[in-house]
Amino acid sequence: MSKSQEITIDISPQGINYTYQIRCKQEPNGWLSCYIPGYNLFYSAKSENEVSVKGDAVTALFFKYWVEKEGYRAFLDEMRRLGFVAWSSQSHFSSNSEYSKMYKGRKQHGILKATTERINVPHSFINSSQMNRQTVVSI
Amino acid sequence: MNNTWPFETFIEDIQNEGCALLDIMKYNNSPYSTYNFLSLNGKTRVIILADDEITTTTIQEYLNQLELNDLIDRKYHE
Repeated sequence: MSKSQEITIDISPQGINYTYQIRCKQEPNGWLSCYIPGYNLFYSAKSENEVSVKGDAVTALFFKYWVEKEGYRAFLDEMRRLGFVAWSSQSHFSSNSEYSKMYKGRKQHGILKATTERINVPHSFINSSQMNRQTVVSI
Repeated sequence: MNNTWPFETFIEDIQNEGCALLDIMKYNNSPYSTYNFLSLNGKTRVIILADDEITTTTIQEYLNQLELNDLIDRKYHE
């Protein structure tokens, strides 16, 4: 049974510091099918080492795509659609006003969080192994 | 059923089914890039990591996101 984990995205003028989880399913030929909850990303890997390297690349490209290509507002819309909530760094609780501040650009930073237990894991990955990662991307 | 399928064939197939390729993004100096697609209904962006081959499980999940669920039965089962 998988342990619930908080996924955190800390946005600042210096970049985006984020955590994510990788769920892996071993295929009969030894390859690995990978799923990143929260971000709803999928990919394949030939080895466990490739799993984490590709995970860092695809999550970084996820942020670059949404922030640089679609724009900051579209990025926030997507994160809401994916189930992330905005958190206040001062009061340490979530509220709708935190997203409003981020939309209006009154905040140059923000914290978004999701919990893996609230995410519907695809059927193929229910009994998969998992690893946790933390990394930073400059936007 | 095969375990993996050629990536380029998969990309051609989903474009032939009507999904629009928005752009291809490369990640800094790494060999990795993503193909960013619009789903068939035009509502969802689907980010696909480029590779030589991808597993059938990964194809199935991409097709779910692209709203092309029946394509795996038509093209990727033997």
